[in-house]
Amino acid sequence: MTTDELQLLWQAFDTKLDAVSRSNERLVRDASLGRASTALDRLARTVRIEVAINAFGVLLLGSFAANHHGEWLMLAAAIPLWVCALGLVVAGIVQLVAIANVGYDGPIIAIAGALDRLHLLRARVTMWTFVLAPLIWPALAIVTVGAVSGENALSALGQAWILANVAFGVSVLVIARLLAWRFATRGVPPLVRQMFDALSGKDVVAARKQLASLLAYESSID
Amino acid sequence: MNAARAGREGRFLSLLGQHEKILYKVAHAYCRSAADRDDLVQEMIAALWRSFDRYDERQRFSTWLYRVALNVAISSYRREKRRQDNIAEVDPASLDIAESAGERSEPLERLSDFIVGLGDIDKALMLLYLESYTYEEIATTLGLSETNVATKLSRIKGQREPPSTEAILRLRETQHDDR
Repeated sequence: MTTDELQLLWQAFDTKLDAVSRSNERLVRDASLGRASTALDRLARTVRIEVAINAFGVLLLGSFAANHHGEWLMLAAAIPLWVCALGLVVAGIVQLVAIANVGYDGPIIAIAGALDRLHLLRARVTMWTFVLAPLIWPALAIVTVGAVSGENALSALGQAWILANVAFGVSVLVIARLLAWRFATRGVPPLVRQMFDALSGKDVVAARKQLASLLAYESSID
Repeated sequence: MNAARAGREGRFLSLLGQHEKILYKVAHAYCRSAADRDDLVQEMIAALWRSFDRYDERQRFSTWLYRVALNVAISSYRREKRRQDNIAEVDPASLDIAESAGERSEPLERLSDFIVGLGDIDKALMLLYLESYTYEEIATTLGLSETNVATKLSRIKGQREPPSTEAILRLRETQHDDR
């Protein structure tokens, strides 16, 4: 297609679009600017809530560990949970900083790159959350029993229960990841598919690929 | 609401009203359905309003508007693309600029096919080019070098076969009738 031909067609489209613009004037007229929010604003709200919940978890677990400093089982359960919660808080703060640095009036490639990196980070955080959840479930049970009843989880739940749940967590993780790689994309409800894609790491792979293609686009001059 | 804010809002809406067609052009290039286009336009208005504080009056408003609108459209498109892998295989007919513009015409369908077939950043490049922005302006808006812009544009233009002579002639007649 030559330059003249394309621009001629574009001018024709421009003329025809006047009618569409007139019928859509309400969008501009009715824009309630005070309540206007972008997808990024909504994401920032979600991340702030996540950070608040996880920070609360860090405080609770820290307090729990301090109250049970001589009990090895309680500490062995509370410390990994505390590390995970702290990791989520840090990841959340990194995301909030990244969101705050995105201005939609910046250069297009730079903004697309910043958003791709943000998405990659979120995909990684979600994947690790799904991966670690079944593994740390027994630790959570031990801490919950200890915090609610004040009892030692070994006597309340029994050693067999704890070992069975560790084995269950590992099995769930292995089976879920196998299923996720094999069946995630075919005929399952969107929510389940999203969970499986997050768990299997497909989201991370897709996000990484998207970022790589953007970087290649930026640097490719033949 | 204080007077300063009301004045700022009024100025923003007035400028937006003068250039709103840009929002629809961008929305048509990136969205399939009318509902999606409306959502995208609203998202663009929100982003424009949030960025308006940083708007430098020495810059053309339309250039600034294009940049923000394209950033919103591209981020929305890339988000959707991640969500549904098949968006890249959209039937060009379903993203129909020609139909949305009020009537069907072969040249406009060709333009529609042409734009829909491009990648997300290439669409932005082509829209700015079709609006007669200079290579320097396109390069600044995209954050690429001018050489890169020139190379990519010639590559894009070389990808498609030209429309038929009859189609161009018919289009010229239509434009003549419109005047």
